[in-house]
Amino acid sequence: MAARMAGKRGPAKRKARPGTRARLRTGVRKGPAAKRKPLRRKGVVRRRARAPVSQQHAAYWAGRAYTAGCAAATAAANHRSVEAPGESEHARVNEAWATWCQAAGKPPWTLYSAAAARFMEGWRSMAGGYDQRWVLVPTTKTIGVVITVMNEQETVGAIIAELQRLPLHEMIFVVNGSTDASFERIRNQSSSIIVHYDEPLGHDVGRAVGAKLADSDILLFLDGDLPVKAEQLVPFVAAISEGSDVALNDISPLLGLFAVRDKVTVVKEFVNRAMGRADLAANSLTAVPHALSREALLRIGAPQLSVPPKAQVIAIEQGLKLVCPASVDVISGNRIRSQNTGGNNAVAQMIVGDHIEALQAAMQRRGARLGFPDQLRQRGYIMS
Amino acid sequence: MPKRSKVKPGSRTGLRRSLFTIPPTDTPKVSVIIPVVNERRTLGAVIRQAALAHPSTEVIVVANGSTDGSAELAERMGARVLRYAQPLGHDVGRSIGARAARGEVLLFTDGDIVIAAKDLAAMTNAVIAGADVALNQYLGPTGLMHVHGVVLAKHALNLMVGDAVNTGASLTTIPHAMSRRARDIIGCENLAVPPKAQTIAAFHGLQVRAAHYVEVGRRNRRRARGRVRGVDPLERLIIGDHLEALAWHVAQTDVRGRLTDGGRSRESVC
Repeated sequence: MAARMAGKRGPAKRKARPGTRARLRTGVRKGPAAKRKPLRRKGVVRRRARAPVSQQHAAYWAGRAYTAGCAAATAAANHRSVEAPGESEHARVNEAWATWCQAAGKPPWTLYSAAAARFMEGWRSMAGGYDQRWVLVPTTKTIGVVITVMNEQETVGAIIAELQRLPLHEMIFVVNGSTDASFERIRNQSSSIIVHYDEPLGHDVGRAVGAKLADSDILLFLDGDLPVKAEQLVPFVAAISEGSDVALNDISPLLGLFAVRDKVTVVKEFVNRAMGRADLAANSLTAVPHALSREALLRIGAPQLSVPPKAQVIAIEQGLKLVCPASVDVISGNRIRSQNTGGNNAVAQMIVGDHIEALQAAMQRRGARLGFPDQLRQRGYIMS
Repeated sequence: MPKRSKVKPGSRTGLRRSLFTIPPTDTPKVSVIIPVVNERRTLGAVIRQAALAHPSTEVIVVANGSTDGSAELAERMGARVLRYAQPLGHDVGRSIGARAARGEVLLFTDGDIVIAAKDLAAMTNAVIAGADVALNQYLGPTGLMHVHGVVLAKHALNLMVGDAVNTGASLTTIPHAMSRRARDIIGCENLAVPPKAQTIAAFHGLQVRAAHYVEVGRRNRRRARGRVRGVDPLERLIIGDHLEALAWHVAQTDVRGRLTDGGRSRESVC
């Protein structure tokens, strides 16, 4: 360009230096002033340092959530007159939060709780009536929790306290074979549904009983001996709400190397692999917490939940969507009893039996070898 | 560095003036069964070690689908050779060899892995000492987060059929030995599906014991044939074998393999 301009300016007979134009066009600078790119060694892959969830990022979501909370509260206040009078404030704020999550996108899990808290602060600044302990879930579907209890008076209080932080539709305690004050504690601390059996129902039968009574869209399952933080339950609810049918607890990060695992874990992993779901690793319906969709419950059948591995095999056979959305440490916190300690304990034997029963159910439908046919052997030569 | 054969070319069979021959016997104590499909490269050494495992030994080579002269080599060394023109499939050779065996102890090994006579002897000695079935203690690589399907299946089956003593030891792994009585109780035809044979043995109360450790993992030839995107067809076959074994166990016992139901009152919900 410069050369052409110089030419136009007048009769000055300055000739453009050869090559200038080309250099200008390509933008190549010449001479020692030109900065050289540092040489890159071959084979060295430069990785951009992974940005930690920066404060700015967190502030972004918090700010957005706060504004949205304010707006939602204002909007809700305008419609208050037409709302059902029975609906709690927690359910109302959750509905607004779920709607916003759907419209604006759910915050990443690492920021979820903080964003939800800011949303509620925004809500309070406009509408008031907010409890700091509330946990919001990104769905408007109804949520039910089934908790099996057998002599767990020490822990039921903590479980109820955690569950009351969630906007639940129903809470069903199946108290069986309890000789302590479990029933009274639950009765006094909550208005939940309690099913009471004098005799113990046996392992996991309580889940089936509770599931049969529930009428929520999303069903969470917990054990009475293990309080789980309400925040940790949110991903399971969210997974079902987003279209999965079975959300399992991802215990993989809690397991050691194969050589040191207990027998139950080995058998769980084998059943998943035999069912063609190696991706599920050793995750199982045997472990809590887990969640089911209403659809899954109907397709599996509530009675089958008494034998969790069998329910899982049926779910896979039925083509339901199984996912492992989050990891809750249920191993180190599990109560130690006389029955569940030692390598050869009665509970472990029973769970191994459950897995045999599960595989047997699949074999009845698809033959002894399931999806692993034997096409190589010439068995005709050895039949006696 | 290219993998070198344990048997250096020319160093043994080539330089040796006369080929090693198995001392003949009419009433062998030990029968060694070696299924062979084109394994001439290692077969000579395998037969030699097998013959040295016990003073009174017969070697039965089940050559199936072999076209490389394995059978002829075995014959010249004095082995009993059973020939089949077409490949019989995984482990079927064991079944056929077992049927032909005359010894009191049956020792099973493969034609492609040379195992030292002392290791083979440890297996036969365990059976002579009273075990019905002697297994290799080798479990495969277990120091992993995600183990091979065969390793997983071996461990899981032993747990399911109540063989807690032998954590992951299996008849799928060679070498292993069994008494003739064990062979008759298990049935020759069942030896073609090793996990099933092991399950039958455990079910009938035979003494199954992981007797001796022989590392056979690294020496096992990685076969490219039939691999589809890294998935080993043998892995799928062997997982299927274990399921077949479990199905047999369930058929003999009940749907839970006679394990406790923990007193579930299933009728409470239906």
